[in-house]
Amino acid sequence: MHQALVDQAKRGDREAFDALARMVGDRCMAIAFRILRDADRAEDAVQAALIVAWRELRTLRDSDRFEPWLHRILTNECYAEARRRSRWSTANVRLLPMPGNRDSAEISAVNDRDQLDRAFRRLTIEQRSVLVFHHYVGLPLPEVADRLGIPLGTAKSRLFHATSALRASLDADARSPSTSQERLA
Amino acid sequence: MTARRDPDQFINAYLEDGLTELPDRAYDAVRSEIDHTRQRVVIGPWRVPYMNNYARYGIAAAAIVLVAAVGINLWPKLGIGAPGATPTLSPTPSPLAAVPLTEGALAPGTYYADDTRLKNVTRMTFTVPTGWAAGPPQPPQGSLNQTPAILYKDVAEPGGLWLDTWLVDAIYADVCHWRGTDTPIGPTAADLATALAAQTGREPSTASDVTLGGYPAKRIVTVTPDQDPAFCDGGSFFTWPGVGPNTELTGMGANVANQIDVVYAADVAGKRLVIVASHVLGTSEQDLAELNDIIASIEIEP
Repeated sequence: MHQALVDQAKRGDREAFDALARMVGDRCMAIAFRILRDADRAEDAVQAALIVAWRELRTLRDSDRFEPWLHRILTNECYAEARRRSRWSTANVRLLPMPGNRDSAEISAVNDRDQLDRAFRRLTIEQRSVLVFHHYVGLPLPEVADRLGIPLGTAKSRLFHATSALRASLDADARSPSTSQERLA
Repeated sequence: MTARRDPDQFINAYLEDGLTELPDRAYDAVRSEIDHTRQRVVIGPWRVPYMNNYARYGIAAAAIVLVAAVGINLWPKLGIGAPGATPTLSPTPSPLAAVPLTEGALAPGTYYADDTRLKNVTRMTFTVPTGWAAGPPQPPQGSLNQTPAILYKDVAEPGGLWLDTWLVDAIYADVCHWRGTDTPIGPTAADLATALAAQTGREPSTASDVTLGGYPAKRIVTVTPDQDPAFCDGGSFFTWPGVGPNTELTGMGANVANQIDVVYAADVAGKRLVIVASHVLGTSEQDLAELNDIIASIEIEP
């Protein structure tokens, strides 16, 4: 389905590329949002990636590889977006007291999520990308490595460190009952 | 203590949660942008996806041989080779007989350009053989792309070669991860050669002293890395930024593995003229010889 549109777009057909963008845009947004954890930045990254894809489309040799090729461009735009905004976006997190009328399971679930969110934001953008492509997109590691343009060993290492950091955050939370009364603002 | 779920399940659930739709305004913005953005012309074959080291070394060796062939071919014609070496293809151009360069296929003859594509000089005259064409004098209204090549040949075939002029105020320190690495350079040809030699992301360039249109010049050879540029910033290798608005998109980019850019930087009346003669693997010796003859025929009016 994509391939015919890709071939048309490669010949300079803007309508075809527009249709193609609308077919893959949501998926790109989902990936970019999960890497960047910010809707505006994710939107910017997807826009930039689609424009690069249009400009460079004729360099894509295999039309059926459009989506992996686009995802690599998208990841790169996410990296660029993260670098661009990192000057003012770090550590903008406040802790607020949590309302006391929740049961312990609910508190624990919300708290786990918040702990995970904080831990995720502390990961490098490269580690997040591997996590997202492996856990969210559901790709096996060799394909993650291919899509990100990194050696398999690097992908494994990033996944190991990212997963360890996230697990550690959940374990730390379990050992520290006082933090269960806090959540992210 | 609360019973806990498997951490991997929790990570999956955490990643499942969140936005999954790109707003319509983003599609509209993309559409508006591509309406006045042209696609980059692809010249020559793209890289072989899975290449073993022997193949890489073979291609690298072929590139070196090709560069050497270009250099040997060009040296005598630029006045630094053996005495008595004689150009074989191009007649000596006569500025009086030159006609204005016009877009499209060119009849063999002597032409001059004095439009917006020229940078830092008033006029450039050169002689072209059969089969060459000229790009449009300026990009379409609203286009973000760099001004098109002055001359080109066979760009739709395997192989292909073209010639451009540039205004260069800064160089990217890294040709792949180039964003934020642009560094201002001095105004001379030597300044440009030094900066190119220090670039990372590809093999250091080599610089030699030549003459271009009778002016002292540096000749620097750069080869685009044999790797997919999609992982680079903006999906492209970039050597230097453009000048003026949209510097990112109007810089000198390259996306063809092993593309060879021969940069000529001449000091002309206190200003730097930069001409880049580019070709890709697969370009014929005959075409390369023609390109070299065109460069050797250049006359410059400051």
